[in-house]
Amino acid sequence: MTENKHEPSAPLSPRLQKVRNDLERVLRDYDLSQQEYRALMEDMKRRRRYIEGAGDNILDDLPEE
Amino acid sequence: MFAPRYIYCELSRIPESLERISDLGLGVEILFEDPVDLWPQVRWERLLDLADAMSEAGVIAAVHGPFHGINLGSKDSHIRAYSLEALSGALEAARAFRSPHLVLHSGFTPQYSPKTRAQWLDGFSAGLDRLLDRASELEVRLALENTYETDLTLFEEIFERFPSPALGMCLDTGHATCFGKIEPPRWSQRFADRIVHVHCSDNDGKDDLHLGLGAGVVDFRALLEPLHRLGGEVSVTLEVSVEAAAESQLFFDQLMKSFPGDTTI
Repeated sequence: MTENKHEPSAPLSPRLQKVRNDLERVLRDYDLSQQEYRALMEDMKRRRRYIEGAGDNILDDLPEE
Repeated sequence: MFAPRYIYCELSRIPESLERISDLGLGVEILFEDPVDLWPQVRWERLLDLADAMSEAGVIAAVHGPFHGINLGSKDSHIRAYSLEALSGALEAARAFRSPHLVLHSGFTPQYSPKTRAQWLDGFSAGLDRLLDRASELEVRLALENTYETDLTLFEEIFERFPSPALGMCLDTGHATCFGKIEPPRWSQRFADRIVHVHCSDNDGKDDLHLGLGAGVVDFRALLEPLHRLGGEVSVTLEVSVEAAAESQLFFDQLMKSFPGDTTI
């Protein structure tokens, strides 16, 4: 994949600066240890099952081997 | 026709490319290249804040789902389950960013034997069926992108199994040219009524180089003409570097002007 990289030379408009700030906040969450990653994964699965309800999970009806 | 237009960019590269993308007047197709780009560490409330900020700044977004290691038709049930979960997460991201579609790869490997191919297709179809249900709930269309397929047969079988308009196709002009073993325009001739999005990049006919439009051997006129003739709503992503985007935009505009009766430029 080609990477789109560009160093900005002038200040961004306030709205674009907000986009950049929000993006950087999202990307800061990437800096995780494996332990934190696993804990988040488990938490996400629990929350998704809670939201979707038992027996109504997108993973429940996968075909058997 | 052939609007809106986007440029592709990995999520992590958007902050440094944002100004140039905005100057180009393009939307951005956010490339969640790896599942790890998407979850679980992404806090959805922060992603929603970002989506709102982009919308308020007038930067429209489309979403490309993760594809490295993703395979809905894998023989390994863990990989199938993980792929479904990752693509479901991408669908939610597409909804958050108000993307009209989610681009996804099939994960198919053309070297499969006929027996393995049939098993793969059954597994893939089961996963796709679930994914389409979720996509319908979220009002996001799936756009299945041609990648390593050497001919039309796999997509013909998939579209036959899933006639629903909720499943569209993303025509990748670069892939059709460097990975296919058929004349590339056959893709757009055969699937013109299913194509909802086009990825445009150029290459040397051997490798997927993502060159600027006009810098390689891709025959964009022949590839896009069937879509232009049909006149449907098809959006476009320039899958080129930001540096090559302005010239590629110009190339694309010139191509559109050369089609008979075009009034979109």
